[in-house]
Amino acid sequence: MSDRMTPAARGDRVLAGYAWLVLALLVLPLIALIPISLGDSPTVSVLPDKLSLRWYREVLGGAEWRSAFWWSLATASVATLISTSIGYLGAYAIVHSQSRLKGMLEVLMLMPMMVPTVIVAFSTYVLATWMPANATWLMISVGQGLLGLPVATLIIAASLRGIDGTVIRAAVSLGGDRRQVFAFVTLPMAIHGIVSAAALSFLIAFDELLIAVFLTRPGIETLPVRIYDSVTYELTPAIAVVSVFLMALVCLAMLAGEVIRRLAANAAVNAPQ
Amino acid sequence: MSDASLSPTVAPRRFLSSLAELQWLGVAVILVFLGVTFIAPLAKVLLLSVTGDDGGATLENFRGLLATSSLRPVLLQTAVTSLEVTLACLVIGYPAAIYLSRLNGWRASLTSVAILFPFLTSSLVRTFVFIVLLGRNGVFNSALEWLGVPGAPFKLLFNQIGVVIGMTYVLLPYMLLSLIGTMRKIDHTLLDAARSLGASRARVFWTVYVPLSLPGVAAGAIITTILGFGYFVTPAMMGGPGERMIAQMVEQRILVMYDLPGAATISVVMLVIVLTTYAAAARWLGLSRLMRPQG
Repeated sequence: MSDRMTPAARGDRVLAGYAWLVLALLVLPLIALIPISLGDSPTVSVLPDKLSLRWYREVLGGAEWRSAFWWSLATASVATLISTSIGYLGAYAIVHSQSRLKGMLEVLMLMPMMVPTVIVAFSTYVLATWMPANATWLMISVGQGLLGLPVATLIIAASLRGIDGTVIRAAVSLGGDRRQVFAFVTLPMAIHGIVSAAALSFLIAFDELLIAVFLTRPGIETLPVRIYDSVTYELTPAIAVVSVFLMALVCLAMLAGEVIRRLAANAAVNAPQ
Repeated sequence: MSDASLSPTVAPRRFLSSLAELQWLGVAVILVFLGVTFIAPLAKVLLLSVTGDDGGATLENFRGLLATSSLRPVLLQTAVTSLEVTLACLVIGYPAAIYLSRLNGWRASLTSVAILFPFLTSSLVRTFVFIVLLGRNGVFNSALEWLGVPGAPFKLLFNQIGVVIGMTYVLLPYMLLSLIGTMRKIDHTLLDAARSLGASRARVFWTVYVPLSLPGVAAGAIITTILGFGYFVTPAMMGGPGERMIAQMVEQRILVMYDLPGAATISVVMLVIVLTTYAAAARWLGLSRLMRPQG
């Protein structure tokens, strides 16, 4: 430390170092999953004695992990469809309605986020008992869709609020009908919000554990359920391999979000005035 | 949109009224969907909690639960754990957020990536890695032994400390996002004004900065406490055998004991606690602020 440094400046430097340390502690444990996944023995270790792709082969070649992945993909995709479409309808009503009841609608849409997840899972379990047994996977999607709904609604509502009403009126007075205005004005201007909402609800559904645990049947097992069971019964680097894939998925989603955001920003700048 | 009637053309007005019809249709779809998939099953859960063995209405479930079962210690344990985790998140997060909220350009982008990446990664994955790191032969204990810390290696797994560490790691991003969102909006000219009026740096911090950041502290603390209260993944994976947290009690009753009225009764107790907290917090801070941890 130089003598010319004031105590305040030194304090700032300590604060900065501390803040970067906290960020490092948030990210480094996840990075540590990469060496763990490259281990050769069945025991998990951050510094494996010998690096190998053994567990990658085991996971990619194993029918159980693959089937779990496909189940997760299927339930999460349908869940995303549910939360994004219902979320859009709700966001539209919340943003454009002048009704006094819209506060109640907002609370209703946010309910699945306020109610503890285990209770949402419990009620989805009850719902599934009312439905035919072969609709179980669809009920998993419905429950996961409910969990993503509040986030989707909030994000889409924020992007709809950002649309200038005069643009819509201009489109209408230029002769656009309802479908054209939606397809060529509202949708492109809200697309960033809709895509972010879809990406977030997909991640929420894809990572969801309790609903899938409650509704799981022989032959229907999602990835989180499989991970949960594996951690409980056999702690192997296979879980780290799956974790690395899940993190790659998150990176992909974040990258896609950023690309869409840039594209939307460019489109807004380049839009004909 | 409200000034549409001032527009010289008639088309927008007709357009808007047709939109209003469509909007009602949308609301109807939402009400039917949520009514069937969420409200009705939730009502059934409430009903289960007041149904006796003979099928009649009774409060016996609640009386039994409060009098005899293990609800009270678990409830206490859950509340203590969620408060400990919230306190840990706040103590760790607050100083870091002060610095991180001041950043611009690529440093700010790096900060949001470093927070959002764990935030979006599956909580199962985040809990799993902590099981590996905190193990007896894990990195954490090895580092402590290497440093010569007396008593190392510690037992950090399958006990309360492990659960608190794991949950703090999982919930810290919520706290950081809430704090940074509020601190970003603090007008730094106010701090300069206080300084130029002769206040010391410490005094400016405690009497100007901290009060201005309180909404973020409150929102972050409430979100962390409520999420921690209902948390399942981390306690179930790191807590060892037994029911440590209330969400595990519900899960055990549904999957292991097949006692749906029991699960419903505990759910109602949980629901009342959580919704009361939300209602009080929403009255104080506004619902929209609570629901947007991104600030």
